[in-house]
Amino acid sequence: MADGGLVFVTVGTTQFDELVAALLRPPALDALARLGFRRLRIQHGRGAPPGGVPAACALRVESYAFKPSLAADMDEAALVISHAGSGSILEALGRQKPLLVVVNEALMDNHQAELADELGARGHLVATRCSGLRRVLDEWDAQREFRPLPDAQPLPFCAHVDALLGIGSDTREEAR
Amino acid sequence: MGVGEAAPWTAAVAALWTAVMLLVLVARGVLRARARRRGREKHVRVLAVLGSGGHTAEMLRLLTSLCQREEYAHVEFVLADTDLSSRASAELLRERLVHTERPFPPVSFRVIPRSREVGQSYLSSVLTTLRALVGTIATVSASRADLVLCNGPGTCLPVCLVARALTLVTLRPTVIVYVESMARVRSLSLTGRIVWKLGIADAFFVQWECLAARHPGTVFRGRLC
Repeated sequence: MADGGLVFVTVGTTQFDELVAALLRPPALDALARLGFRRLRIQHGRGAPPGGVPAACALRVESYAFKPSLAADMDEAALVISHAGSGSILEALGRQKPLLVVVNEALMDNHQAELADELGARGHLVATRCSGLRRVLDEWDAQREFRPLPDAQPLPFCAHVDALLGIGSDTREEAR
Repeated sequence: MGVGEAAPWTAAVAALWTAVMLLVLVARGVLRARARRRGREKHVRVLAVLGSGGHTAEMLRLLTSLCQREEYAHVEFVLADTDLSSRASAELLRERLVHTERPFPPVSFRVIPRSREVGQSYLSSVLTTLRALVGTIATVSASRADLVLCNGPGTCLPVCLVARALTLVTLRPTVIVYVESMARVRSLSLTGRIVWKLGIADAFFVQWECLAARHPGTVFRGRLC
C-alpha cells in the first residue's frame, strides 16, 4: 500500500529540529523504508535545513521551510508525521491520512500534548514523543484503519453569532 | 451611636449602586439592540485577532463559515508585530484566502506594536507598552468593528478590553466573541481564562465538553472549526 509512497513531515510555523534529526537517522529511515516508503518530504519551518542522509538511504529526501499552503503535500502523502500543532493535525485528519504526531517536549506551556494525546486515545492518530519515535515506527502497521474525525460543526456557532448581531437565522442552512 | 448618621450614607450608597447597576443593564440592553440593528442593516464589520499558525488556521475556518452570509461585509485582521515578520504573515494569509474555495469578504490588515521585547529594560518596557496600548486603541477605534472575534493569542486581551471600553465611551456597540482553540482540551489558555473571568465576551465558546463543564457560562456546541 505504501509502495513508493510519500512521507510528509511538517513542523508548522515553528521549528522542531529534534524531530527532523531523529527522522534522518538510520533507525527511522530504515523503518520507513521497510514499510515501503520511498520518499520523505520535510517542511522544517524556522529550523535549520536538514543535514545529509546516510549514503545507503533507500528514501529520497527533500525539504523546504514554508509554503503558503501544505494542501498539495498533505494530499500526496501516504503518511503524515506532524508536530502537535492543531492546524497541522486537523489538516491531516481532514484528509483521513494516517497520522503520527510527535509532541515537542521542549515547548514551555505544552498544552499541545493534550490535543495529540486525547485524539490518540480516541483512535484518530498515534501520538508519541521523540524518544518513542523509533519504537512507534518499528511497530507501525501500514494497514491500520484510523477512526475518522467527525466533521466540524460550525453552523450552531454561526447561528449564535448571527443572533448576537441581529442577523436572521433563516438562510444559514441553505448557505452551507 | 453612629447608626442614625450612618443610615443616610448607607442608603445613599445603596441608591447610587442600584442606579449604576440599572444604568449598566440598560446600556447593555440598548447596545445589544443596536448591535442587532447593525446586523439587520447587513454591514457587519469584523475585527479578527491573529496569532500563531494553529490559531490562524482555526480563525480562518471560523471566518470562512461565518462569512458565508453576505451580512459580514468586511474583515480586518489584527496582527501583533512579533518576530515573525507581520508583513510576511499577512501576505501568507492573503495567499491562503485565495486557496479557500468559498467566498470571502474584502480584508484589510493592521499591525499592533508589541509591548515588550525579551531582555528589554524596565523604563523602555513602560514606553513600548504605552505605545502598544495607543496602537491598540487606534486600531480598534479605526476599525469601527461590530464584531470582535478572537481565539486565544495574547493580543486578544488588550483588543477585547479596548473594544469593551470604547463601547462604553462611544456607545457604538461591539459584540465580542471568544472561541477557545480546539487545542485546549482540559484547561483554558491564559488569555481565555482572563477573558472568561472578566466576563467581557458576549459569547465564550469552548470546543471540548469537559472544558464547558468546568467553566460555567461557556458554550459548547461541538467542534467548530
